Amino acid sequence: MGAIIETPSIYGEMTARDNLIEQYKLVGMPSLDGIDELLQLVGLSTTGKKKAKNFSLGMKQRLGIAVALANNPDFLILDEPINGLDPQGIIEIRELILKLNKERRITILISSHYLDELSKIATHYGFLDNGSIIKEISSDELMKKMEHKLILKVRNQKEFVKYFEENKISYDVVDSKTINVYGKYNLSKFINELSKKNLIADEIHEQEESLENYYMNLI
Amino acid sequence: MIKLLNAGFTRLRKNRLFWLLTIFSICVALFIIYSAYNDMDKYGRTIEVEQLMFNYSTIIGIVTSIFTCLFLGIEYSDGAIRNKIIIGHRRINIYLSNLIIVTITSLFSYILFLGVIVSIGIPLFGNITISIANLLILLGTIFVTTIAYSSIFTFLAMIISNKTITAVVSIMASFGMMMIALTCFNILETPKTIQTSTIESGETKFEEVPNPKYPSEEKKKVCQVLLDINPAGQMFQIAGRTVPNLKVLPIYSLGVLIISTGVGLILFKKKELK
Repeated sequence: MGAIIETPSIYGEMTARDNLIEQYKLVGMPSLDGIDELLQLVGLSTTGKKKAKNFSLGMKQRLGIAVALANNPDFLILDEPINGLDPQGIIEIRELILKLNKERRITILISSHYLDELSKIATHYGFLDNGSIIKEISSDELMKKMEHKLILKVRNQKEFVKYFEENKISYDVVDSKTINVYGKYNLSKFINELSKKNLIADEIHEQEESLENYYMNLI
Repeated sequence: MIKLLNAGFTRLRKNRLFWLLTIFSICVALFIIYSAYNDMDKYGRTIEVEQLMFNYSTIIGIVTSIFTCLFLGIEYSDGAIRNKIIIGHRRINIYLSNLIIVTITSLFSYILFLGVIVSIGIPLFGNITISIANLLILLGTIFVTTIAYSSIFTFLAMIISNKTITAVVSIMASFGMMMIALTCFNILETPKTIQTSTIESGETKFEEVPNPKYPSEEKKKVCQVLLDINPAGQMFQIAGRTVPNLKVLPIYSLGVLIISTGVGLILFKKKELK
């Protein structure tokens, strides 16, 4: 396992290469092979004799990731990896994370408050509130929940469900009076179609949820 | 522990502070030789090489405090301690490896100083005048006291997570120990009698009277014990070639080492690492 908790653990007075040599010694690697590849992987192969204290925040974060990768971990924990980074830095870290996952098959646990950024890379989510996990959900399920939907309040739920099944309309029964219908529909056309089948809903609302709204509703 | 020591010595080799310390040790030795040569040349004084060897002992405490607080201080500020724990190293091993590295560096500094003194001092001033056995005993005592110094400053650096506060406290502690030692020295050196002058019938008469500041035997014993326990006190006694209790000094130093390291380990184990 490798980890960056809060800030990357790097010696400011040492170069990127020396920091990796130091980490290799700490984890007991038998040789220094692989250091150059690691530096290349994180985009720091041209830093030369520049001391880590003179790196930008993004470079320090990337060096921190390289240090965490020194012992070839299968699992990497990144705590707030993009905090304080500029847009370019965020993109670099995102691309690096995706590369590590796809090319090196490393499982990565990211702790972050940047929900929009997470939505671009995460495959599974765990939402925490007051130190406890309140929801675990896969990316696919989450995207489905956030997808555009119509919320119907109905009295004759069974007939609505039968209609949706026959017409292969994606839906979810929320409770005895509420059905969510997923997808983008022309609202007037949709109501017309329902009324042709004598299906009248008491209320119909349109909703499209962002990850932020989803989280706020959860807590 | 081997991995921690390996990594620590790798960092030491590349550390500017270590090389500054090395140069400083050599410069101090050269300065002492130069001063002694000046004294010999101008005033015809006889220089004992072994005395020059003991002179560094009076400042090694300050040198160790500065090196330790700066070298170990960044372990907290750069997140190195946190990293070592995440990798799986135990706190006790982290503490002890740092203590070993600081101790070896301090001893190296003194040995380097000795090397310069011996290689230049002996051809310049002549051979050592005391027996080799006595010399080795005194140098051995200096080394054990240096280890005690290292344990005190390692304790401070490992317990205090703020580098600046560590530096201030360490340097104040080293000077504090020196001040206490000098105070004890002054008390022990207080003369039993003092000379007073009186004028009688136009004539000035001098007489020896008991010194009101002369300490009691109890007070002298306490001061001597304080001087013997205090690493700075030990170094001053050796440098001054007046060591009434030479045999117990290493025992006191080992006591300082055990207590400071023991307490340090307990506190470090419980310490909240942010």
